[in-house]
Amino acid sequence: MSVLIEATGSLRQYIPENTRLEAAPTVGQAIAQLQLPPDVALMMLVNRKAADWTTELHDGDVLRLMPTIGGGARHAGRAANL
Amino acid sequence: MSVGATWGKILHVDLTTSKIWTENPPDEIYLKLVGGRALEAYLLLRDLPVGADPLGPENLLIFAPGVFQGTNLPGAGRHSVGGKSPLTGAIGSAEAGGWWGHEFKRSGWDALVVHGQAKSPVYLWIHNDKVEIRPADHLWGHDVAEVEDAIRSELKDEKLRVSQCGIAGENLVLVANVINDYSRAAGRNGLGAVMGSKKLKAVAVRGTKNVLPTDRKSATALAKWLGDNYKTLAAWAHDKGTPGGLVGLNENSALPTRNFQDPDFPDAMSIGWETLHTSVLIGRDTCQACPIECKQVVSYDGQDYPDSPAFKTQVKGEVTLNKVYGGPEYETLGAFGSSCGVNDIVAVSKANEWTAQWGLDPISTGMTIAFVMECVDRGLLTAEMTGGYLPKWGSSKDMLEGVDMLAHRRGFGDIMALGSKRIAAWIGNGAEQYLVEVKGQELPMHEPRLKAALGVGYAVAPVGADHMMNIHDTGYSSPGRGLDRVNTVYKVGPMPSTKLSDEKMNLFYHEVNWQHFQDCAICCMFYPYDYKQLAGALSAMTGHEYDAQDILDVGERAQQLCRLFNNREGFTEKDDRLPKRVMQAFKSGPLEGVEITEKALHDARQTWYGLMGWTPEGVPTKERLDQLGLTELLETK
Repeated sequence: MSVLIEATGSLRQYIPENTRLEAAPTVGQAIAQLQLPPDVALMMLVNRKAADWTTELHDGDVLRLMPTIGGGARHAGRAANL
Repeated sequence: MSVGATWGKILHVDLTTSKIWTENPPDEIYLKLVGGRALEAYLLLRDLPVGADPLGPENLLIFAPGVFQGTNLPGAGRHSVGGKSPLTGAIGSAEAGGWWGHEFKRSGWDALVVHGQAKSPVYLWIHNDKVEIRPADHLWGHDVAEVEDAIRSELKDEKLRVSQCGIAGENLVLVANVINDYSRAAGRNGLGAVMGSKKLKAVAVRGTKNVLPTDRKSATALAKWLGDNYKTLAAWAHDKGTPGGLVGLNENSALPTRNFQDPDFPDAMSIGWETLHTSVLIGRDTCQACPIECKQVVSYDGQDYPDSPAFKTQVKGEVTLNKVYGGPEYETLGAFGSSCGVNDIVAVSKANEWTAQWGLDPISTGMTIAFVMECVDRGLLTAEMTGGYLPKWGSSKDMLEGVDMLAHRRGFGDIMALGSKRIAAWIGNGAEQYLVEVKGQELPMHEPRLKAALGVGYAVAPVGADHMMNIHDTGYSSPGRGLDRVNTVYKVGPMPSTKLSDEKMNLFYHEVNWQHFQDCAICCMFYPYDYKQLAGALSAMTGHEYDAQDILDVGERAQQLCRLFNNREGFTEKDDRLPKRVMQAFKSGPLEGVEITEKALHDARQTWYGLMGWTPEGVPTKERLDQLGLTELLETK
């Protein structure tokens, strides 16, 4: 089987274009193989339909992943001294 | 003092009699309620007569920080405002960011309770222990920035902070907000109208007292952790802010479009972060002691944006944007944008500006205009009924005209000022089937068909539909910090965002208690703290030990008290409902076929009632109130 992974927003930095997975029976197993940072919360579509962690994947499916909110670093910070 | 980071003093001011007095609550009040929403609910239950008119002199307007305010804990640049809501008739409790809460707490008070009604406009000037009621006739009828600048000039203090009712509050618009620091709002529930009804134009505060944690070392360690980690753990907030997720939500049929009718807004990109940040955005703003800077700041003077391909405007040359009032957040972009079918970032930003300038709730205002647009579209509203105002989907000018009319109660705006539920009753003729509200409060910009438990949260939130004292299911549909946090007290794995189950409602129970706790101690919900960290912070501040379950109990106490208040005002299980429109499945798109059935909603609600220790009718039981130490507290006078 071959499942095409589409990433949007800040996920593009972790998932190259045209990423395909050959052995990913479920959405959860596919995401585990992608080794995303542990703090990324996702919305998932399979073939443009709402999906979840347990949704089964089949040959030719397109798994589209979106962060629940965008991300990326911008400034440096400073701790407040209480 | 035996509870650290508190003063043991609540300030009461009666505007009818000009009487000012101090209450010294027992330690138990601070230890069990912590402040904010729980304190507001307790005071309303104690001091407000049952069935009081929300716009009458009996109602209370309560400004309540929590234990965290004034301490410089990152995330504590907030405060709460409460009272009986004139929009819903239920409890009103709303939080605002900014600096006002910090300054107020440093003046030596834990809360301000305003009673009565002044004969003519007044404002309060609280500078440490000195409290003055001053005339405000010269401020009445003026925009928010003018009022704040005038007070600062009049009192000759550049560092004071102002919270105020805008023109909308003066006009008793039922979707009016209480505004502080120019652009921050204690948003929703119409509390600006309560302030206006009291003829209380503003509360100016200046405090120079240090609010000290009992265990300064532990509190500072948490602040340092935040400073070291926010760039990764709150990256979404400081990079793009709340507009960052708009386009992605639209891809999931979860960007409310044309009054929640459509599964897709084709011009989402034109009102999303991608356009905002390449056109009118000129900077970012923040709240007290917050390094994240999630707030948007915009300006516009008719220029073009060749590098912003999706930029569109219908109001070039007619509208400018004033950076003093900040910029649109996700809720505003959805409410004035996609909900009204408007793809114009300048017009949406202008509507946002007016909500700050005049003191309006952007969500309810935008959704009320969207409802009027739909009623016009369906022929339920005619020119004879509206004095000629017939707004069309997608028209920037019609949308903006609606905001102006509503704030000033001009023409049909006098009816629109009452919110969508009352407009539907005024129209009759089946208009109520197009309403998207709970308890009279319009839905925020989050889609229950994508986030099923959030839908239950809309139904049961004590203030009417609310997205903050709620859960966002998509944060728990894959492993991450959301699940890590809840797993410290309740073990659960990733769950489908579109489904309801007993397991999901257990997750909901814990996380909604957590959100309510953060509105009591008062901490920004965008912060990546977990249960243990804020339990540690509360322990360090107060000098009394709290663990994760203890702080969740604080959040539950807030909800139990809110429920007791609402029940005595006549609310029952039947009010914990969802509008039909957001329960029915879309006919196309990613959420095609996804519905929330009445049975699923009923079962989920009953599961949660059980977890809250309530009867099937939604009434708190004495056993649970005893367990939480509330029976004893409610008997304290």
